[in-house]
Amino acid sequence: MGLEPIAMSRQLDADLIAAALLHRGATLGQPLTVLQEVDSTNDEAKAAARGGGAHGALFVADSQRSGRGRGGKSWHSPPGENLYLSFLLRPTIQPGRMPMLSLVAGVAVARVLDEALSPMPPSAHAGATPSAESPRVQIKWPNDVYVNDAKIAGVLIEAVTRGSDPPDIIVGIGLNVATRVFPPEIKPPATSLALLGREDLDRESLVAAIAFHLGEGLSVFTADGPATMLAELERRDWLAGRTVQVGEIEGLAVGIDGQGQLEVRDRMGSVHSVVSDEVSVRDLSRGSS
Amino acid sequence: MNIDLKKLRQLLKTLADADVHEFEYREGDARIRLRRGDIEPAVTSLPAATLVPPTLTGHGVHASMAAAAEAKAEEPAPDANSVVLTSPFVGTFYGAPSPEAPPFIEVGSVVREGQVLCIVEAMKLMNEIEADCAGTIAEVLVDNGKPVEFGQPLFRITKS
Repeated sequence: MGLEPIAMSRQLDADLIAAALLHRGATLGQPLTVLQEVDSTNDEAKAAARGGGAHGALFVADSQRSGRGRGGKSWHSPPGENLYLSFLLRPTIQPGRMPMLSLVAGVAVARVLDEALSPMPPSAHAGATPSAESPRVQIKWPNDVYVNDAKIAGVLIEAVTRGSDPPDIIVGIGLNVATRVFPPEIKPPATSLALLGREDLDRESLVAAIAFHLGEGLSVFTADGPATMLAELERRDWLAGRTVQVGEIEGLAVGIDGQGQLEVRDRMGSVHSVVSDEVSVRDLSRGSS
Repeated sequence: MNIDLKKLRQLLKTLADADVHEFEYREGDARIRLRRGDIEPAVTSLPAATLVPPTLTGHGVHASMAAAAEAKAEEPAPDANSVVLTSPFVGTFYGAPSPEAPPFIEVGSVVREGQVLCIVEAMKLMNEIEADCAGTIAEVLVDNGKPVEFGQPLFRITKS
């Protein structure tokens, strides 16, 4: 079972999403809330969290008035074209491992794009390597998803911690589906499924695919730890071999360590583990970010 | 290999201040490797003196332990009427929701239970830390944009 082409629906159809979630056997996505326009789906999920919302609750919007990324940066969110969705999660994990969920989410979205962009039949997808003809889906650490050196999806995770209570975790995902023209000021260059030749995919089944893969990734991470996810992240590491600037550190991105931190080797040969901060690429000849 | 503990501590502090996460130095057979990162909570209570093994060759020294131990030392004395909030993981401390926005709170702010006090970020996970009691902010223990360790004190709240 995978993504099935259906005629593009102008507005999100809640019944179709519910049916697609069932069809995929997604472990996340209940209860489902579909909204026309919101400030941000993360805010909706956060409000639900405060009201005791359930683990797995999903909020999908047709457009966002103030979609945002890291550090409050805005995310281009026009109506009727793309996907903006947020999950409320309450997984049982050590607080120290919580940031790795950010990586789990990026890997899940990359798997959805493998499905969407691979010419292989959907049934062949479980754990399969995409065929040589499919575009390479990569991740710019920690979780921006790139295809052909352009950004197609972004993830923003918010968590709320109060005392020793289990944290509420909100995984917000923005995926460019049908937008063909992006504002020129958008950096890095953006792309969409339509620009990559998949204008036939409907947003409803993409929502279900995301819920399915995020649910799978989360189960493996909580049961077995981060090793599987980190190995996949290493294979998809878009920054590897590029010269990057992180804060005051400039050097070569050489991989991702066992804690999920980006490793940058400076000119003196010292390797720095980066846990946060914006990573910008200095090597313009290999693409910019 | 003789280690000058004072110099080593100075080095650890310099690396922590410059937000260097990993550092390696070799001279002949001697090797010092320092790494700041995720640490086990039990380690934070070790006295600083135990952090330096008799010989450093082939051993890793976690600068984060020293930083955490130092942070522990700076932790305000327990007071029945005050609560210290700590960082849930290694990351970056943000006192405001975005670079342009005013800070969530300042010293003297009266806060209610559940009010957002700061964000600790790691790997693009923005973790809002909420007050777990009502009170007044007595101390803000970290500067905006600075790295924080697991368990590092962030605020002291005087309960109302």
